[in-house]
Amino acid sequence: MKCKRIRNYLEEYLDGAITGSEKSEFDRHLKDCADCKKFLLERQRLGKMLSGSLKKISSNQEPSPELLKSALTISGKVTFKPLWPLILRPKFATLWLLPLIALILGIVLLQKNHYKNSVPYFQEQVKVSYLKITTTHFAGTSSDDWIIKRVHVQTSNGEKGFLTLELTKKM
Amino acid sequence: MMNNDLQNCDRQAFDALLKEFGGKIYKSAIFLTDSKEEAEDIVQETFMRAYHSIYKFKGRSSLYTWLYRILLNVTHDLRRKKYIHERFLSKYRIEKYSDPSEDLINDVDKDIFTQCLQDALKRQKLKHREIIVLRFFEDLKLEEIAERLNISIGTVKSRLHIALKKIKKSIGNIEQFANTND
Repeated sequence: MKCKRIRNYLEEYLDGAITGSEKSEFDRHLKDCADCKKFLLERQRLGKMLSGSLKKISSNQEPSPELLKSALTISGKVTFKPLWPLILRPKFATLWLLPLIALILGIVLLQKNHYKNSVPYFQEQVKVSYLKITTTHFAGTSSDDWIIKRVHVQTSNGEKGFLTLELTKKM
Repeated sequence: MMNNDLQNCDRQAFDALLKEFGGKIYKSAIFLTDSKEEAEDIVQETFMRAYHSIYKFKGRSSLYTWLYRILLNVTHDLRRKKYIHERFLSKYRIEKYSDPSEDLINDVDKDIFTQCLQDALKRQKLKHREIIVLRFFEDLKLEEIAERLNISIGTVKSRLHIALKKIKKSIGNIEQFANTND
């Protein structure tokens, strides 16, 4: 069990990621257990050989200057891709188009409902402490035709206002 | 400073980037591919993609790490295309033309181990090959490999284990090479 654990964490051990008491435990085990010691040495040797060979192969490999030059020649002018065409693509458009339509519909319906349910001022029951009826001005094609009666009111809580009552045919 | 210049698409800054990392990227590319031509194609494509998507670079990793990730993406794309192409060739029984100059290290004095390693690498899957390159050529730690490949440390360890097992199997007894290589 212990050997299995040691072999499982051997790569971390080689990276130096195991520290403190755990490391001393590892060291002790590797010193005592011949199999694990052999396993470690084999891994170290293979690593060294792999590393050496890969570096040996690569030491003679240099990219030709033409290759690096052509990498940029081909690339040409940079064209930045702005974000909006992506957003406008059909599959992304549904993400924002449907909520937007729903939002607009919601606002329209709410507004309609608000006006429907709202009580005009003159329908509210208020105590009127002051009331004066005046004929304010004439309406119609001829100034003699109609009289608009306007009622000036003042409520008990001090609000002042007026409301237009009716059009009366001038006798 | 260099990042800003790059993001402003300063040509000179990009030339400097090519000079600095071109060689390193190419050296990794030759291990990830089967021929020099493929490696050159991949390097060219990598820098082309980098040039066109430099605005995506946020500076969260180093420039080299970012370039390396592009290199790996390009390599995977090429491998996929090649796989489809080879399936087509085998379906219609078309013989693939093999050029002897394709061998990567013809111009290097090959020792037996290097030759065996080269053959073993060619037989590895790309996901195992890249782990070997990152671990033994780039000398990266498990954590760094996981970050570069965007996979977990556990996956890195299991891939490394499989890759080393395959290499050991291909090259046979390590002891026979140890004396010649040391």
